[in-house]
Parts: sequence; structure tokens; C-alpha cells
Amino acid sequence: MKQRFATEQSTIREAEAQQTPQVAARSASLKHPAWTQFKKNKPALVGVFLVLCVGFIALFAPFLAGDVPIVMRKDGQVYWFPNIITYASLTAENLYPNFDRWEPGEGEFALRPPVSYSPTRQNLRERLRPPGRDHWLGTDDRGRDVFSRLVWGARISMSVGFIAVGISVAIGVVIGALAGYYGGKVDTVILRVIEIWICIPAFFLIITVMAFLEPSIVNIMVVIGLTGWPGVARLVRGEFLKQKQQEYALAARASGLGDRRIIFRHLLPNALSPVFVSATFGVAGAILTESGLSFLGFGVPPPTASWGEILKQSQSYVDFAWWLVVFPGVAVFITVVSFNLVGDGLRDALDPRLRQ
Amino acid sequence: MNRHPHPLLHVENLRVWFPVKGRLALVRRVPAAYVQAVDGVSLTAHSGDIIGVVGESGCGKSTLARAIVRLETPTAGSISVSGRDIAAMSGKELRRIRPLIQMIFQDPYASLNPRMTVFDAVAEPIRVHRRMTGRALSSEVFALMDKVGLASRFVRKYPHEFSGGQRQRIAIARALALQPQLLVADEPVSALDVSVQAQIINLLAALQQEFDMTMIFISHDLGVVRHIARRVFVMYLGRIVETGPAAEVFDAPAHPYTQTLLQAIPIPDPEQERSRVHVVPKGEPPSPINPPSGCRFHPRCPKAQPSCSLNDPALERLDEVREVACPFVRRV
Repeated sequence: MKQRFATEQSTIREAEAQQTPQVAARSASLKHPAWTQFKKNKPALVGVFLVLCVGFIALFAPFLAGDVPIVMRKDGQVYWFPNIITYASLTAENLYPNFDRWEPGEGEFALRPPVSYSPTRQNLRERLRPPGRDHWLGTDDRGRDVFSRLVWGARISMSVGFIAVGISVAIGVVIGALAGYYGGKVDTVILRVIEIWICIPAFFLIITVMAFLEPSIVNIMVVIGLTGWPGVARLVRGEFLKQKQQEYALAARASGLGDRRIIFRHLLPNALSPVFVSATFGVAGAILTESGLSFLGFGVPPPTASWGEILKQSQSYVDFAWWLVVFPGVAVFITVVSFNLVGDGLRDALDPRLRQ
Repeated sequence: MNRHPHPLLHVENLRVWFPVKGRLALVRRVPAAYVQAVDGVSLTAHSGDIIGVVGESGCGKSTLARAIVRLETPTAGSISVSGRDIAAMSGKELRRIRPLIQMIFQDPYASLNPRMTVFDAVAEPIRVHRRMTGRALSSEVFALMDKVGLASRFVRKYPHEFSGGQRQRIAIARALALQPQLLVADEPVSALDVSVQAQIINLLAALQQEFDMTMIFISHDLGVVRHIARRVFVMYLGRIVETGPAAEVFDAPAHPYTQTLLQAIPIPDPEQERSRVHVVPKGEPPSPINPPSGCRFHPRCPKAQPSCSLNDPALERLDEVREVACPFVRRV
């Protein structure tokens, strides 16, 4: 018997040696199976494109809209990017408040963003102008340019979406991981808390809480974030229950590694893909929630531009000022749909059962 | 054999029962029944031994293995490693003793973290338990990879880039990284191609010699166990029914279950295979939730007597080296 094994071994070693390059070649095409699958999904790619567009607009809002110049030369001195330098430092340099409406004289210049209207400065002579050559998307009841407000509103929507979801994912991942990993009493208690939490209608809870808090964008992010974690926690718990039974997790435990190391180094990286999917949908949900809150007057404090806030202002003028309703509505719609398309695409790509 | 006062591993009356979920009583479920996966197993392994555990699927082999490495908490009984009972250990105490007892799993596709490179997989236990870092750590990892026959240029690769046999070599290197005294191999070759099985088995045997480890080799493949193990334990439905030196148990099986198990091996020569008498045990293995009364094998035993359903036979000495749990062996 031993003889037979010994002679087989040498020939098999050669066979295995020849096998190696094949394995390497196969793995190259398998490198990103999720990405290969995602690329086939046209709506998801459109979603990614639109999300990137809105993200770009949000990120570069000061360069796209506003009355503060990007570069200016005044009194023989060149100022770079006053549009992103804080108002405080501008005031100190005695440039504020006339730098925005200031017109360059001889030997001076100012390069302003393409939409050169401030999102917040009122101009009562220009009230409720329909879309036209000066104001591409019209003006609101205080003469503010709608296009400029939409661009700056994208900042609010995107930052609320990502930060609120960031908060709920951070809380949900930790709580879900603890429940799934330790099981038993820890799990039971956490599950009951989640079930109670989920019974409370989130939107009304947020309205109630916001009624007591100062309306500020930070408060909105925190409150939306704090109501969103139970869903994430349930997802992570389920994934941990599955992953901790996998042999690699058992091997990690048999190696005598600490719980924290097993949870964060071994289980979490393998449990994250459904969290990504749900976070994408969560961003869309948070954007909708913020718009709803602002629409009801519990959102960002008034001069700040937010899509829901524009919609709220439009309520009294719905009869004739259609541009105040349609454009912010379309902005919310496109953004939310794009995130949902990306979420659908991610879910299909990351779920191996749906992979062909 | 008795170089030490204590055998390296001594398992006494080990019982691992799993609760079957019953009705929900407010916050916790009251178990309706128990799966008696391992029920009263005793075994001893001396330093440097290779012990084989055989039995059909579902007989509790894997549960026994997982209990010995303490991935399962025993319901009752003791597991002594070098005289220290680890059956009831928990927390830090358990974590500190874990390096002594390492395990190799059945499925090399599942037993390696898909998001860790080979280097990290092998280095992590060394980093944690042996507190090595930097160059000392990497030379240790390279030495281990060399021992298991993996080229060191593979260290930065991920498990999915390897074949099954190569992955099992990585898993072996990871287990050896902690310099264990006891290596539990749970079906280490069952998921591999037949062509690769022999290499892994010979590698394990060579490493066992080199590191002077004690090894528990669990398999349903009788030929493999006979090849590698010196002493064999035959399991049926959570119990050990026969034990003895591998050659004797396989050449002259005493227990009726061992006999039927061995008869299930086909003979390579088709002429002989067709002409031999097949004794197929009646029915399916019974459920470990509700095992048969008396001898657990009696409903399927070809030599069952009326008394077998009443008396639960204990392991009894057959001769100097063998034990059998069947009172009729001598008369058969």
C-alpha cells in the first residue's frame, strides 16, 4: 500500500505542477465576477453615471453656481478661489460684502461660475421670473435663481444621504455583528430592541424629534442616521450567523484568535456585500426623507437651499410658477431613481445565485 | 509508549448533544429533543500516535473532532490534553491552550478566508500567539510554506488562485504555524481529487514524523485510514463500537458493524467483486435524535439476537490490544 502511494506521488507532483498555470489563467478572468455581471446591467450603469453627475455637481457647486468669483483681480491683487474661501476670511480682508456684486474696473477682472447667481441672495426686482435667458430655470418668490439653488441643494441632499447612511451603517454593523457573533442572550435582547424600533414609524419619529431640535443639517443627518440602523443590523446579523459557521471562521477560532479579530478581520469583510446594497438604497431613502422634512418645514433652516425647501416655497405659487415645482421634483426623482438603479445592479451582481 | 505520566490526549465518556429547537417560551426556546451526535466516547492517544476514526457519514466523527479542538462545547465528559481538562475551559484560558490542538478541515475551499492572502493566513496565528513580527515572522512563514511544499512566490496570492490540493497545503501550514502537539484532521482529503489525495496524506504523515505530533485522522475512506493510522476507532451513531491496531481491525474485524463496513469496499478485480457475497445492512442509519434501545446497531445487525434490543453493550477487551462493543463476538 505504502509503495503504491509513493510511486503515485512523483507522477502526481508533475501533474499538479502543470496544473498551476491553468489555474492562474482562469483566476484572471474570475478576478471581478461581480463587476463583469454589473457591466451587463445597462440601467445600473446609467444609474452610476447619474449618481456621479449629481455627486460632481454637489462637490463642485461653488464652481458651477454662485456670485462669488473663482478668480478675481482687484486693486492690483489677484485672489484665487474666493468662492471656496470662507466668508469669515473674506470679511477680514475687507472684501465682503461687495466682492460678489462688484464689477471689475480698468485692469481688473473677475471670473464667475457659469450660473452667476447666489443661491441665497434675494433680489425682489426679479421675483418669480419664468425660465429664460437670464435665469435658465426661473426665479423663486424672493428673486433667487432656481438653477443656483438646485446646484447647492444637491450638496445638501448628497451629504445628508451619505452621512446619514454612514451613521446607520456604523451603528448597524457593530450591533448586528455582536448579535450574530455572540448569539444567545445578546442576540435575543438585540433582536427584541430592533423589533420594537422597527414598529415606530420612522418618518413621524423624525418629525417629532426635529420639532424639538434646532433645525440644522447636522441634526437631520444624525436623526435620519439613528432611525436607519435596525435594518442594517438585521442584515449584518443574518450574514454573521451564516459566516461564523463557515470553516474559515471555525479555523480562526481554533487558532485561538480573539473575538474582536475574528469579527473585524475575518467575518466582517465577508459579510459586507449585502450591506453595500442596502446602503445604496438607504442613501436614496435618506434623500427622500430630507426632502420630505424640508418640504414640511422641519428641514434645513430657510436661507439654505435644499430641494425640499424649494418645493415648500413653491406651494403658494403652484398655479402659475410651474418651474418651482417641476425642476426640484425632477432633481429628487432622478437622484433617487439613480441610487435605486445602482442598488438593484449591485444586488444582482453580488448575489452569486443570480450570476450566470 | 508511556514516556509521559499522562497520555497526550485522553477523552473520557465524551458526550456532545445538540438541542433540537422546540417551542418558543418568551425569550428562549425549550429544546424538544437532543441530537446525540457523540454519546459516551472514550479514546486515548499517546504522544506521536496516529489515531484513525472511521464510520459512515452522520456517525458523529466530525462532531468528535470539533469537540476535541473545542469548537463545540461538550455536554458531558472530559477531554484531557497532557493531563489538563479542556472540556470545561472557556475564554482566555481556552484561547491560550488552543495552539496546542490544531485542526485541518475537510473543505479547503471553505476553510481559508477568501479575503486574506496566503501570507496573512499563515502569519496571523504566529503574530498573535508567538508575538513574532517583521523579518522573523516572514522567514517563519516561508519556512512553513517550504515544509508543506508551496513555493514562496505564492505568498501574496489569494486562496481562489489555488487548486484544492494547494489550498489544503496552505491550511496545513496554518495549522503547523502554532507548533501544535495534537493535529486533528477531519476528512482532510475527501474534498480533493483522488490524484491529489495521496500527496496530501503522505505530506501529513511526513510532517507528523518531523514535528513529532500526535494526529487524529478522521475519514470515511477506510483505505486511507488503514494506510496512515496505527490505531483505529470505528464509530457508529455517536458511539465507538470497535478499536484496535489498524491492521488487525481491518484484516479481522470483530464487530458486525465493522464487518459490514469493510465489505462495502469494492474489490478492484471485477471477477472477484461479482462473485463475492455482499452483506448489505438493512435500512438506513437510525436518527441520532431517537437512537435504538440497547445496542444501537441492532436494527441493522445481521447477527442480532433478541437480547440486543435490551442490553446496551459496553466496550470490552477482546484481546490485549482490541476492544469491541458486542457480547457475541467471541461466540460468532
